[in-house]
Amino acid sequence: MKGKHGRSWILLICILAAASALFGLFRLLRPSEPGARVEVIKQGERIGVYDLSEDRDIPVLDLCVLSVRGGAVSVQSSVCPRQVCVHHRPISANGDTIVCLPNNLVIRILGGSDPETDFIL
Amino acid sequence: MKKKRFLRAVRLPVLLLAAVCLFASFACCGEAGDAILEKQSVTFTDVFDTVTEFTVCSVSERTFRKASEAVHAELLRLHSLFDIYTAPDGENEYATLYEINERTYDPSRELNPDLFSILEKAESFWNLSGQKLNCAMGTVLTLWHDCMEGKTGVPSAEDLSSAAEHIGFDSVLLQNGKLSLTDKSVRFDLGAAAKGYAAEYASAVAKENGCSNFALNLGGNVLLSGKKPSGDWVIGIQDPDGDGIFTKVYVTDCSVVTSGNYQRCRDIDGVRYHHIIDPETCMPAGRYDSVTVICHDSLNADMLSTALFCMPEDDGERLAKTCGAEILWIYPDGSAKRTEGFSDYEG
Repeated sequence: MKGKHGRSWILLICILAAASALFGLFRLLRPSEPGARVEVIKQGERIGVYDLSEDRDIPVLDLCVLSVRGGAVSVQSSVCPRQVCVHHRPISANGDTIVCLPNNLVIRILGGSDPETDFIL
Repeated sequence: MKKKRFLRAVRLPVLLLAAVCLFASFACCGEAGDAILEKQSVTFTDVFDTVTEFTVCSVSERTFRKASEAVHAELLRLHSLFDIYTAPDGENEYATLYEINERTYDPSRELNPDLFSILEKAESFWNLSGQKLNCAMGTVLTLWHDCMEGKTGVPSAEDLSSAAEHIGFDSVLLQNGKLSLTDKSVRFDLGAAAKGYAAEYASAVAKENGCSNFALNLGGNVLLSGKKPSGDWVIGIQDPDGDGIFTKVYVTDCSVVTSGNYQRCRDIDGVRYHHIIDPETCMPAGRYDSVTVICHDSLNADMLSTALFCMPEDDGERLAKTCGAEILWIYPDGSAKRTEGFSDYEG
């Protein structure tokens, strides 16, 4: 009797160990939490999300060109008349935005240098 | 015999494993749209000439979709009532602000109740603020609006002083749902009140549609209800001089509004002109770089931030106390002053 129960527990432990190993493997294989990104929204619809880890220029349709430098985003050029977005300071903190109303564009940081902040006024 | 013993031995673990799998499948799956999501967000760019963001925590996708449609509809309705730049589409039961300003409004007709209500509130705040918040100075604000839009240069002193002859609520009579004007040249501009008023109404719509933890950001007028799963909402106040954040406030169930000289501004011949016009001088107010208001009522927060931008701190502090608001003033030299309770929000 004793031996039978012993085997049963050993089996249970083996199965649980295998299950937790599998669970761990899934966690490992899942893509890691992404770092800072910039989200581009046109007329309320997201049209692109770009990583901020490397410096580059990102053309947005034929409307403007975003510049990513050192984890901060600015608008390098835009076809809008008053160039308000181009004169905006570079943004890098979570939730910070540059808005171009004539082009109906919102450029917003996701998970940036200050992830706890929801909005910047 | 051996086989039987083996089956008996594995019975318990297999049953346990099956139970674990069953539980896991219930926890992971569920019909699409019913799962509760931590945070969902939508952006509207067609209301109040700004970008509006509606963020909701801890509701299903289905609830979020329904609530955001209802909130958007409410914002569009109020936008069309308060918009002074666009003629309303078709026939309306009530007059809009555009029709009042363009004098295509029949004074014997009743105003839309929301329009009447916001004008009444604007009038009483005009009195309360010593006329520093003036929603009946459309004649002056139009000149500056055209300048900010790049259509004209800086308004001339003559144009401003003749426009200033027709400002204020002295010649406005609001009674029994109707509006009459003794000075037919007075024009309204609800730029300092419309977003705050709309935020309150849209917030009520969000609550009716099953949302209790949400943020509604109407281009810098932020109304916060409840909390995020991780705690209070966190609002960064921009450093007017630099790229960074001056301070952060941790808030719930209130509105935070900042009026700053860095928003909606234009540099002409090396001089920066911004959109907050002092009704006394009819020029952009220059005491502060920004004024931040934390207040339980979104309309009061909106009107206060503009009024305080044009007032000395002592008068502003008294007015803020009357409204139960906390204030942060940031000066052009980078220094700041706070009301007593403001620091409590700064974490």
